Amino acid sequence: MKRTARLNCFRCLFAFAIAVVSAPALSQTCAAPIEYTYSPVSGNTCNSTRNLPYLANGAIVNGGPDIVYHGYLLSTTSIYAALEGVDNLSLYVCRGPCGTYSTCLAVIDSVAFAAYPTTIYPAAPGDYYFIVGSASGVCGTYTLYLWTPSPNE
Amino acid sequence: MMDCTRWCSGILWLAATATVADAQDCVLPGPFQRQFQNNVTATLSAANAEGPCALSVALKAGGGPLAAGFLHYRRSSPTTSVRYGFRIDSSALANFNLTNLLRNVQLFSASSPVVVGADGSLPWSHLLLIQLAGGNPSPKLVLTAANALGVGGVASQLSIPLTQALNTLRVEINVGVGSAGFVRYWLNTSFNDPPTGTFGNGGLDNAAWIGVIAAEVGVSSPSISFRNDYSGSAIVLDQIESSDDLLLWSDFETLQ
Repeated sequence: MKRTARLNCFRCLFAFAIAVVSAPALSQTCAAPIEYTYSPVSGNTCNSTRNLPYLANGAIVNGGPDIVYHGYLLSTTSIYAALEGVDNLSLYVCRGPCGTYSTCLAVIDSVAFAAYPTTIYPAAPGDYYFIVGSASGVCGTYTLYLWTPSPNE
Repeated sequence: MMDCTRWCSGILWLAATATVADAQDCVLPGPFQRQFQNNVTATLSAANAEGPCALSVALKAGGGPLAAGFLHYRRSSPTTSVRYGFRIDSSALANFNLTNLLRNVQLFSASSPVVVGADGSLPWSHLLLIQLAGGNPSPKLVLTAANALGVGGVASQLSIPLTQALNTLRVEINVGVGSAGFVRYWLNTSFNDPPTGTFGNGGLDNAAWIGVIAAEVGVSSPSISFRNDYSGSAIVLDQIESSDDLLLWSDFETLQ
């Protein structure tokens, strides 16, 4: 079976080094996002706060506490994402800079007991922020799966 | 003495399903002889008595993510090539062409007997899963197929824009190594016509999923946005067909 690279291809060790140097262990905001280095990751937004109430210049309202992951896309490619978790969590896939004025490519709502992969394409090179929050304001546990194709795919 | 294995099994199979079939004035379509309902208003009916059933499903307000109404069946062993078709009437979903992908609901799945998960990927058990999703200007049918060569190593996805509210989708699932694994689909055309498209032209390499062991058609796994906006609005599925003729099963005892 052909293996595909995960988002640890996102600026790879360079990004990880930044995270190690600048981010406290529990940082998960735009200022200090969690570097997405390996799929999947799990978390609980109830342990966070609502740092990003608005995205896409206010077009998107995030009603719940949020956790921010960062990755860097080296070339134009598709991103494959799946959010598995409690009902009504939302995954916002946004371009940098991170914050209220991010341009968001996709929003994926979790459905309890069902998780679907979503392909987001094409995605241009650059910084991406994967924000787990909730449009409806709930919080809870989740597992976030992210991949990009390997360069030779 | 005549070997009655097939005949007996067929008779017993009919007996086993008669209760379900008698529950409505129509014939349950093809192999889909079982039904599931939870927190929906669902009807099985036909224009003519004893005609093939049309399934109408509307979510109940506050029904939650497990609100569902669908027909389903399970095979005794997986099949590596099978066809399904059904017509979708989404005309009751007001302004569905002014929404987005967040308004989505599952309409169909054909499942594998195994769950396959590449390292770090979402474990995936569906050879083909079909969702109806909103969109502007075109709502979409979103097909997600098991694909060992896809991004993530388990599945890939394509979207079919819909320009009308009444659409007939036919699919053919083929399971195999490399290019022997592929999915073909027909939108608003017959199986006798050239397919509208082939999912996985280079092959889905879906042999790890073995084959289709079960399938369901109906409404399930509604997203929160769909539940909020379209509870009470019925989706009607009719003209349900399949190449999977199980009438002559010899192992009827698996129909539990």
